[in-house]
Amino acid sequence: MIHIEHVTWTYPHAETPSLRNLDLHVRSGEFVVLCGASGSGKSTALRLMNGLIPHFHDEGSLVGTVTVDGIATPGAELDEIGLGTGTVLQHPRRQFFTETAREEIAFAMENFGFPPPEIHTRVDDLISQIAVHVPVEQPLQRLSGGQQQQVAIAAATAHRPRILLLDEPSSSLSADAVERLTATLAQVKAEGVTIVVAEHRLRYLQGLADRIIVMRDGAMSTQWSAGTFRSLPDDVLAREGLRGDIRTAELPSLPATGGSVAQPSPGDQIRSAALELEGIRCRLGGRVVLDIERVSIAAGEVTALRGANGAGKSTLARIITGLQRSAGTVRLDGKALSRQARQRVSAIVMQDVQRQLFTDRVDAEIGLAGAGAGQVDESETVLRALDLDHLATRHPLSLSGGQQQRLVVATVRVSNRRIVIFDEPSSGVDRRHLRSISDQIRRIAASGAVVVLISHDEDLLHLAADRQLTLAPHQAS
Amino acid sequence: MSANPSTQGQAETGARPFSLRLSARDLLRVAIFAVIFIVATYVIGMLGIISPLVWLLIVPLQAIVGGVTVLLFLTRVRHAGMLTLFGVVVAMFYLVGGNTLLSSTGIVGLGLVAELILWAGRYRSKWAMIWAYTVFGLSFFTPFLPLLVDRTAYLASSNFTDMGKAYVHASDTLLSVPVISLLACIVLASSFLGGVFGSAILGKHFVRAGLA
Amino acid sequence: MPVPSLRPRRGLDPRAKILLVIGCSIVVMSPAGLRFVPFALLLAIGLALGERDWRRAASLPAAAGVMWVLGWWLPLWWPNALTAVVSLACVYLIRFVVAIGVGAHVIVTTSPTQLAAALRIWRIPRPFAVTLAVMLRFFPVVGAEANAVLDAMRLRGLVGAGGLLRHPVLSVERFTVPMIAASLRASEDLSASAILRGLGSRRKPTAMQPPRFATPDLVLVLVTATLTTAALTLPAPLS
Repeated sequence: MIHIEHVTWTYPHAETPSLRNLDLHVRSGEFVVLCGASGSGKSTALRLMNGLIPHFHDEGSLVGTVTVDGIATPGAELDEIGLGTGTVLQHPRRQFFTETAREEIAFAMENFGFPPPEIHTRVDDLISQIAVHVPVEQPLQRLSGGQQQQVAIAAATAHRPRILLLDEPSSSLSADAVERLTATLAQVKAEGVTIVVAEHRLRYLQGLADRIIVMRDGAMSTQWSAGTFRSLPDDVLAREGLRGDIRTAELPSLPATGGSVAQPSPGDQIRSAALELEGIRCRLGGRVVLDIERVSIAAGEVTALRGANGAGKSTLARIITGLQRSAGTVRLDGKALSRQARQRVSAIVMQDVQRQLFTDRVDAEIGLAGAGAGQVDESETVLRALDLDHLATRHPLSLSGGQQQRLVVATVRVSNRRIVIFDEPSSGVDRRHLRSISDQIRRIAASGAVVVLISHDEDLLHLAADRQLTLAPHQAS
Repeated sequence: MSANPSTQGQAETGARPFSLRLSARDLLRVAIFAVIFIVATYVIGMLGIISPLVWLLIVPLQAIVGGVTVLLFLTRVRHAGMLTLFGVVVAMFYLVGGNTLLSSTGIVGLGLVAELILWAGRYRSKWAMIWAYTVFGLSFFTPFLPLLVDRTAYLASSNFTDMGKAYVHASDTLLSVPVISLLACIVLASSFLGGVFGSAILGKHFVRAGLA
Repeated sequence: MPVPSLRPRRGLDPRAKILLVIGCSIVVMSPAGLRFVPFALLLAIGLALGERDWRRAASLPAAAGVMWVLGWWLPLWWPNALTAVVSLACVYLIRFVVAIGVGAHVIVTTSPTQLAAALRIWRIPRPFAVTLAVMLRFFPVVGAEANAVLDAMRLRGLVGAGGLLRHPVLSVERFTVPMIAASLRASEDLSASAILRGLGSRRKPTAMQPPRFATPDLVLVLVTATLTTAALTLPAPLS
């Protein structure tokens, strides 16, 4: 079904190849898991199978042959490859083209010119399958990560491709969402579809996979049959840089009251702390999106902000940092601060850090951030501490995702902010760097800042957070 | 990276010398850059509403922001017609969002002329790109075109004379042909500077960042 | 009060909306456009109310009101060269307020797939139809990135009239570069997924729900006809 022969691939502007003389064959109907540490080439191999390599990377260099369902992909048109393959990229939210599940599922069939009656039948069929777990009339962007994943798989398989490719589908899912993912994949497999999954968590697939391929440095390093894999203990996996099961982070709850708090606690449990919010209410587009009566967040520790999409996590972060107008008071060290004053003492490490890199050199970026705080001298120390000193003259946008994030953390440190928010810091970054991210977060908290961590990543929360505040979507009353 | 990217680039263009067959990726590329162009210039325009002090700066600044966007776009042009398409969709969008038919037609025309300049430079000449943008940047002047063509109809209202001498005088001077032509010259100069600046930004940021 | 139905509301035929907004834009922006401004404003408010966007329904008349006071009354109360300039600008800009008001309805309520289907029926060539439809999808993406960059600039103290006046070009550079880089990145997955699912290919696409002219569209036609007649016959308040 899929034949990759002697393939060496180098991304444009990269110095070393990401795949080296890779030989990989997948039989029809087979379920193959590609795993390996970050940078091992598993996602790259997947992109080779759906043709995004080489078609989406001009001036990269490809040697070798790739045949997918009888099509030589390097010379084919992308839609021709797409007709025979379904792809689910890592972040379903970023790949939806339409606003509702129905439209999204119909999208590929419409573009491929399926007759409308057939589209209707197929969409109705798939919608009724996912409707058990997914509120199908809701806008897609408001669904939880697991629900979005269900829609993305339905949308990728609606045109009945014979191959389904998934890139780290479990990466931001809760434990029960992973169970549903397993069930969905089992059903797709039962329909005879060939499935290839690039993944770093493995145990949830062990009942389904026919073959597990471990990749290292752009080539195949080990292969396990389903039987061998089931008998492997988790520490063998760990040695390959792989993870078995999903950890759930159990954190003590922060006492809080208000309509947006998932489990409000009695008001007398709320002690005073460095950052206190009172009577916070925010309306956006005529809808109450956040209502927090009282909560206190301590300095020196990391508070996880959890909750479904649309529960108001980002809105709360924007209110705390003074970017969003709202009713109520925000006090820092007992003093009520205006929005402008909050902006001056706060920082956000955004999900996509490209948004907050403003200069043309790493050291200039630190200099710009330090200028306001009057501590330019410190910049070299900070750069060294974050292992960025050898990159000082590089352009910030030319760094890898993890390095960019460390650079933003460095700017936060030299500008000495009291309130620091991390927004999904592990989403665009190699898993290998999870511990380094959590160290960054811990260190900023240790310097006495109020640190809030917004994340769905159980592994990261487990490593980096001390307590949690869980929000729930505000019910209109 | 291939050992010699420039020869590879030439080989690519040599094989298909800018055919008119736009691939899906070309279309999406035009779309994203057209949206960035519209949103970026809109954000700069909104700065003017926040503080009237910067009103005078707005049109030149818009021309500069547009220059950065369009010059980066031009480095990614792979087929002939992409700049023309860019002009048409931007014009269509402005027409929907409030613009005269005359202005939108103007933008389409400017896109065509810019494409010709680009073509004359074989799509890879830096100065052809800058001049192409200089021409296209005149689109920031197109909203004023109607005032030039039919100024009395646009501004003479029935209570025009009630407004007093100062008003009549101001409108006469402000909207006289020389003043509007001066404005056109300012826009032209700004878009030339925008092109030069955009080209500098390409070197300073996007090339070094691996995005151009 | 309309009850939200389980199936998505069908709304107006995208073709009717596009014709309406282009027609409106052309008429209002034409030399004799001021005569149509109040009626197009009513239409824009009505459309905003129809999609239950109360904020737009309120801000449109507010913006038009400000333009009207500055454009028509200010120079009478306080005639001098400065007010005259402001007045001239507002007399011109009031048309934009109204045209943008109607245009906003189309941008907000039309989905990219509906727009593509409508343009296909009109046999608009593939490059234009696909590009315009995709632009509709990219607007919220790029808008969100631009806002996020402005947020980040605020937190770093890089936004402000002072800085903009002192270093206008530098300020613009600091906004534009991250905004373009972030937008390109955000568009990448979206483009990859859409192209793999056949968007923009040379195949002939179909539509699950082809645009259909229905009762709401008829209402729209009648309302528009009435407003146009009124604009042509009633004494024009703004000219």
